[in-house]
Amino acid sequence: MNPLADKYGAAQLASVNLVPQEIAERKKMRAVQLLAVVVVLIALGLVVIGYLGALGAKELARSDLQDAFNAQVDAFDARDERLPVFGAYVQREVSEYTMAQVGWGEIDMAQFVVAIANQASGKQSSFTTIMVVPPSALGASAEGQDPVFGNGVGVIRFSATASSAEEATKLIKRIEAVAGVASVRAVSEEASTNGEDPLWNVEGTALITPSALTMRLVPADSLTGLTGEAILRTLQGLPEPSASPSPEADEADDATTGEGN
Amino acid sequence: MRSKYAPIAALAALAIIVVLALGWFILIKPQLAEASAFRSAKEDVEASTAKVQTATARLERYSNDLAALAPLEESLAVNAPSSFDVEQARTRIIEAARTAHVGIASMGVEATVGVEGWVVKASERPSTSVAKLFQDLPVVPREGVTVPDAWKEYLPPLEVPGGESSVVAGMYAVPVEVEVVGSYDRMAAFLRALSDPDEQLLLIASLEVVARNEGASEIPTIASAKDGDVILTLTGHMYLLDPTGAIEDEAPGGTSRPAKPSPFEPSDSAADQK
Repeated sequence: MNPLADKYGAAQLASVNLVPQEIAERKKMRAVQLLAVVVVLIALGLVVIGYLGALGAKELARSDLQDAFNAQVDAFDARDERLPVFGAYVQREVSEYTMAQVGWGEIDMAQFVVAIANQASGKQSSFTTIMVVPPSALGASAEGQDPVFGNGVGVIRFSATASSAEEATKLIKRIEAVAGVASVRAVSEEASTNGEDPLWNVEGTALITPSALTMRLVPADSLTGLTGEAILRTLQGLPEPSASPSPEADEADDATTGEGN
Repeated sequence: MRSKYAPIAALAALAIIVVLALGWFILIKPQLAEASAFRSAKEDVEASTAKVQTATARLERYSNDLAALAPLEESLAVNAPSSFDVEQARTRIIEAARTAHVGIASMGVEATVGVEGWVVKASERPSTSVAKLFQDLPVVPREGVTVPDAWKEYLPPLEVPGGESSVVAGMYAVPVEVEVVGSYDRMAAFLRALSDPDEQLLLIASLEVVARNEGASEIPTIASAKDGDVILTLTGHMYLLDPTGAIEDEAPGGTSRPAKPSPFEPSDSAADQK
């Protein structure tokens, strides 16, 4: 009785294996060897499949990289096409600065001189000379600047004759009231006569204030922030009241916004 | 069974391990490593692309901002031309004196003065901010892509200026001196005529009004003084930007012979002409 028959209750017959055991074992050995070879080949196949997959992944990544690089080339080309923007900005700066520098010192001189001269119209006082030195593109006149009486953008000197010292005082007061004129003062006064009439000669000086400037040519629509107010602040050495609307500030705003997002 | 087939099983297992190991380390892993490197490079390239696209968008905005500003070219051409029109300047002064009924006692054009442009820090100039947007360099992978020759050594198309300098170079002032004589109200009319906003700026850099009352010394060709008259002396600046300095000589060639009467004979006075 073989073990299988015992286990499963086969008929109580004697089993006879006619295949010689050596042959059967050799056959099993070949089957095992074949199985081993097949398993190894399967492993090899897996390696090949893995390799092909990896190769495909690499080529896909390479292709994606090439696409990304081409997109980068296009992006840089698109940026460099805007190179003329730089030249346009430089040109605009030159235009604004030129207009501001040549024009900031302009005064409506016909109106200004007449406004000053009219203060002496009458019998009690008259001008002998009026000299006006306004600012220009070369700068503001340093003459007449005084730590006590202040700094203007230009200076006025005048010679006048009054009927008395009191009338001279009134004349100075009236000149002081003219728009664009300040710190009017007599630097030299002396009594004289015109025949029998007493006279009071006055040599005076005054400052021209920024309100006399027309600022007609200073660009109101400024890219550089070079407004009339900014020019005067610079001349007076005052700090900027706040951050200027420059592109840097613009970029800083963008950065802040970006962080906020 | 265990004893007989174990070596084969062991050999097979060994062979499988060897095949898988060799396949992984020699064939598969290098490909995956390269793929990973390409993906990493792609991320860098895409980051660079995004950055430059942001710069481009900002440039577009700057361009639009600039286009929205009122143009200055016309005003600049009128008030700071590149050449000095002598005839126009003379005509303007003479015509202003004629319409204002003042007499010109003297006039002249002094030597040109160079005007130093206002100095500004480069960092405060909007154009510097624009230049900064052109400083990004592309990411060029060392392998895996076909690179155009121009991109192998890419340089920024602009340099960012530094320090401080004059925005405007090449600005000049031509000083024009005029002395006119007339009544007070005509002096004012003369000044008004000179300051026509449609003409080139004649910026008065100094002005002196002197009383010329009755009995004052005579001035040739000018009427005798009356009380209330004035002598107005002014120096005006006319500005030029980037003058070429080119000389235009349109005189025809040929031989010139002495003219008659002699150019050096005294000219007729105004009284004689009448």
